[in-house]
Amino acid sequence: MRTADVPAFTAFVHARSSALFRTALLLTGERHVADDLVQSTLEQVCRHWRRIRSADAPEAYARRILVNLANDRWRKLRGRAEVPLDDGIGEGHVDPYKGLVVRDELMRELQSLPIGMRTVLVLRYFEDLDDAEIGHLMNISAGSVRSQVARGLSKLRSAVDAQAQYARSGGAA
Amino acid sequence: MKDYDLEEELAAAMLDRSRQEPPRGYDVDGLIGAVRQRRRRLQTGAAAAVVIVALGAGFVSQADHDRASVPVQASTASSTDMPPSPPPIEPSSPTASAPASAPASKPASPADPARTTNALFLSALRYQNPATRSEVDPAEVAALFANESTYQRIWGSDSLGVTCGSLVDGVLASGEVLLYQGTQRLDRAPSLDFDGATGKVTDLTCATVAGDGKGGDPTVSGFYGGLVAAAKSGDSTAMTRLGKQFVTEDLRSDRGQGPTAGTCSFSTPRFWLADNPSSGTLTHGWTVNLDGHHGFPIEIDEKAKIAGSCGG
Repeated sequence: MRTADVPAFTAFVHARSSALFRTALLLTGERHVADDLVQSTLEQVCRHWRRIRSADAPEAYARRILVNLANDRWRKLRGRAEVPLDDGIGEGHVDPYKGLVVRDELMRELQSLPIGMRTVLVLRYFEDLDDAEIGHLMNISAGSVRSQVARGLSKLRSAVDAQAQYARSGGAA
Repeated sequence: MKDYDLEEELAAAMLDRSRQEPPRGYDVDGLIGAVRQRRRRLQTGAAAAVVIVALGAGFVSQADHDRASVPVQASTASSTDMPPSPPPIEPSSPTASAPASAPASKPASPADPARTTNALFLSALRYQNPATRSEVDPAEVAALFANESTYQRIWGSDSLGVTCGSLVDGVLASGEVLLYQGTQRLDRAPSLDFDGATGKVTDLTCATVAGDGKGGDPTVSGFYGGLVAAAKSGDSTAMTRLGKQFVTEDLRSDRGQGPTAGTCSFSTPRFWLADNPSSGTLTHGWTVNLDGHHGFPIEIDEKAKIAGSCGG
């Protein structure tokens, strides 16, 4: 990076890194992994800054890099067992309030979805992007985006409903 | 749970989750250093490869000399003239760059240079305004510097060293620091160096910045700089005029914050400082401090208008 480019890159990092981190956090579910993703994303942005800066929306490039890195990471880890994002309470324990914690459950289930499905949901419901924008970013069609969203929501709904049922039955379900 | 409930709940859950973990500051110098280091390694590797190829070529050439064959040229020699062309913006393993990137991420801490920057420029703004000069405690200012001599050299007796020799009434700090007189940005900007352990100022240099207005935030400097200029000139109509130009109608309405929307009721500020930039998908924000009071957040929408402030 040339010295003349440093101020603009600095401003970009300060302005956009928080948003990138929040997206990374939702994609990965873990703070330290999100940190690593943002760090790697910013390094790539830095490496290609002149080209990215000349684009209409540097942020879109950065988001695309972030999503690709998250996908890469997931592919590498796909063969391994998922680390459950649970609260450490044993299976036999009955928490009568657990059914009320829908948002926690949603976030937990979100992390159990395949990365592509998870990504479209984050881009749709957190980044507020439309199907065409998501499709462009992920190199898939808008129709695929819609179907992934529908399937993702369906899985989340099933999980949340099952959790509610489990809570209602006092854990006997 | 019905579809629309689930979608709303999911969006809210994501928002909640994203707010649970405050983002860390990313060290730009560390990022740039890591990239430059990687590039140097690649160049060194390429150069080494060229040397090997050239040596091999020379050896072959020498060996074949008696047979009068055409010497093999090191065809890759030209690649040392320029850095390797960057690959397309494609995904790469995050772990590939992890070793170089690890030290560049750092947590916010009391030694955070951003806090020092905020305190230093607020002090300078206070000191440079006769009405608030008495609020400045020299000992507190001196404590922002790594040592007494640095304090004396940069702050001096009038604080002008901090603001590149000019009296200013506005500061925009987004990593780089921009200085304003009214709505006009100065063509010189300070750059600070900090002690890594303490976050205190070790040096300050001023450099010329392009005067084309890029790099700032026209909404912030236009609105708050405009209010400061109007307060100086006694222009009582400025708040309404600037409000229409820079604040959304909703926020200015009676349901919103009324005529002083965007200022937290400071209608005639003497100086302003905006820092702690934030960003959403289509919006961005700042923490704005008027007259050295407590800072308040503002949100600027995609139409470059202030759509929220003071928590409203």
